[in-house]
Amino acid sequence: MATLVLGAAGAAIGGSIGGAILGVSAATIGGFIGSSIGSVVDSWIISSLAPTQRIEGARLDTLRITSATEGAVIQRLYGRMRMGGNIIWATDFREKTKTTTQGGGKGGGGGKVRTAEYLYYASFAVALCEGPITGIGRIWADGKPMDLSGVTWRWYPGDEVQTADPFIAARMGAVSTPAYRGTAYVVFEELALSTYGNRLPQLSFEVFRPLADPDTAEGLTRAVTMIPASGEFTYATQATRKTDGGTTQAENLNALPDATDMVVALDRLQAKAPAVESVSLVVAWFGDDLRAGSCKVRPGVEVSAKATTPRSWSVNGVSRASAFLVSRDDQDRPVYGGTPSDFAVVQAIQEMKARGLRVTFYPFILMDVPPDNTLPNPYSDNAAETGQPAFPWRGRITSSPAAGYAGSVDKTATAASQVAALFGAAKPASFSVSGESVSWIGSPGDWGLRRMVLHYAHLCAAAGGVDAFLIGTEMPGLTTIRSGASTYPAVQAYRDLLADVRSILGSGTKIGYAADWSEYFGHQPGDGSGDVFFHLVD
Amino acid sequence: MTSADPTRVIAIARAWLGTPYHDQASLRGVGCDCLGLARGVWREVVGPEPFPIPPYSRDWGETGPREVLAEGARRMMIEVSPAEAGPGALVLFRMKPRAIAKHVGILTGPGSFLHAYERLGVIEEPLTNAWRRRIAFAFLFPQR
Repeated sequence: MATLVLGAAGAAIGGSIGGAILGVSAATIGGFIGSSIGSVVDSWIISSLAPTQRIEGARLDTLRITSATEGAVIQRLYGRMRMGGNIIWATDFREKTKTTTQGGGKGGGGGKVRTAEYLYYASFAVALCEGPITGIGRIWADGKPMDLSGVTWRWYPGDEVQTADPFIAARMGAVSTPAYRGTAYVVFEELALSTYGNRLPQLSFEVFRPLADPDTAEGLTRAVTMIPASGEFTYATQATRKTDGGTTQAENLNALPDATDMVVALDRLQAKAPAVESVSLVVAWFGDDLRAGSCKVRPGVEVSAKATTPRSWSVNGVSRASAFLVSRDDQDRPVYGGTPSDFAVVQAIQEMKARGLRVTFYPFILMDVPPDNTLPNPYSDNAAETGQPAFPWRGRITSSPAAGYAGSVDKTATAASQVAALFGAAKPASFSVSGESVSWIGSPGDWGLRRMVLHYAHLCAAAGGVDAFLIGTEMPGLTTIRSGASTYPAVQAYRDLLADVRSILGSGTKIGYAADWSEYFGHQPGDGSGDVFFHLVD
Repeated sequence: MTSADPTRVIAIARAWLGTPYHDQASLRGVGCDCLGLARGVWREVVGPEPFPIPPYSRDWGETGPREVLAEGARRMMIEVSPAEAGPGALVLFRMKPRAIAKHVGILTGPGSFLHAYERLGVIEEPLTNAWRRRIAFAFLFPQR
């Protein structure tokens, strides 16, 4: 009984009750607002009938309750927290009548049924805490994630320069509208209340206020690396859904129902680490062999048949059906996510640049060499051992047999030809660029490293350019291959590739090779000669 | 085409302040929507409208890929880049990502603009970052 009555009263009670009810202080009651308060009173009534019993009802955290309290303390937040707020401004509910007529058609007996529905809308502002905050994450209404599609709302960080909300100012007059400087608050415009039983819902907000002082990690972090590098639609800022026999499932809406994962990730990043200026976007293709002379570098997919809307997977003009399929584990799950679709990479670059972030493009090679492979191991005498290590590091791609093993091709012309095979013959003109899509018009069997890197150079240019571009990362096994006493063919191949990338991206883009730490101090062959070659230095 | 004097455009636009919001209307002091405001300012700054505006619904153009409003404006006005648009420019806002730009306003200063806003009528308000970020196109009124 009390549950019903008090539940309907809802948030209106707030913490503003004076005195004491049933011996319980107002402050305590203030903490039990909402539908649960009734059940608490119920349990008090029952427990007063049987005084020896002690029943404790549902207990709520006062911080998560929206109220409208005069003189309430403005909370101070450190880090990230879910919190309620204090309603500091609200309009009267706006009533809209919607009349529908049914029946009364031909042959039907009886009169028409006219139904009048009353819909209510409210505009209000909720103060959250002391500012400045850096962002708002999720929002809950009556404890459930709030559907914000079609809702007009905005937030103010609570800094010392924020200006008055134009909507409130238009209603109240500019003179009588404060900017609430120093207070973080949220404004909802004409929120439809029918979903919430025609009352203001209990709102709680995930609020970010990082300790971004100059001596904290949040304040010091200026650049981050965006992974996972794989995942067919992970980087897309456009909702992508897969359709499978009549059912539709979102591919990239996991964090929030109405915002793509990429957008949510960037929102959270900027809310948590406001000093970040630069992001390295990692995008992976798949290598399939540690022997440079045999390794193909290809874009991969998780499954070879999947219908997606509005866009299909495509990388470098290769469609899903003709793309490399990543290998499976013992439960038939793909061991890697697929290569991000080209359109997703373009969207990610554009989204980050629109947010004022600098973008470094970072092409990556994941090695899809499964555990039960029968490939000759280059790290064995005469490469006679069967089976390469499972899922190795790309930095182990080398000549075969590798330097230091019997029969090694180290310091021979064969080593140079193995390097040439890995890089392939792609040229800047082997691609056709149309709008924001880049496809391959070279030899179909060419799966060299150059094809991958030049593809992304074209794609980055088509996306509007990037600030920096890497032509390779952590390839010490490759860069230390020698075709002569001190000749490094892979280093030369990277230099040539850099020049070609420069011709596509222009002089305004920083272009480089991201060396592994073991390459920083040059190549020390370990053959007893005591030689040190600074092989990456001109 | 030379562009109209921005001071004059702003003065004419400000005369519309307080006009109630009404879908499809374009009558100063009586009612207008955001496009109606732009049309009204056009009539006073440039002259008669070159073609009749077809009837439109609230959700017109939301599903199509064509920038109908921008294309129409481009035929009659001087396009400038949104970054260069100054006071007196007509700006088109893209209210939702990947939807067409269909809200219209007129810049009245470096940090303010004037537009017809549903439920509030014609108001002048600060061009906050939230608004600025949504500007997709900008045009100047031509000289009569």
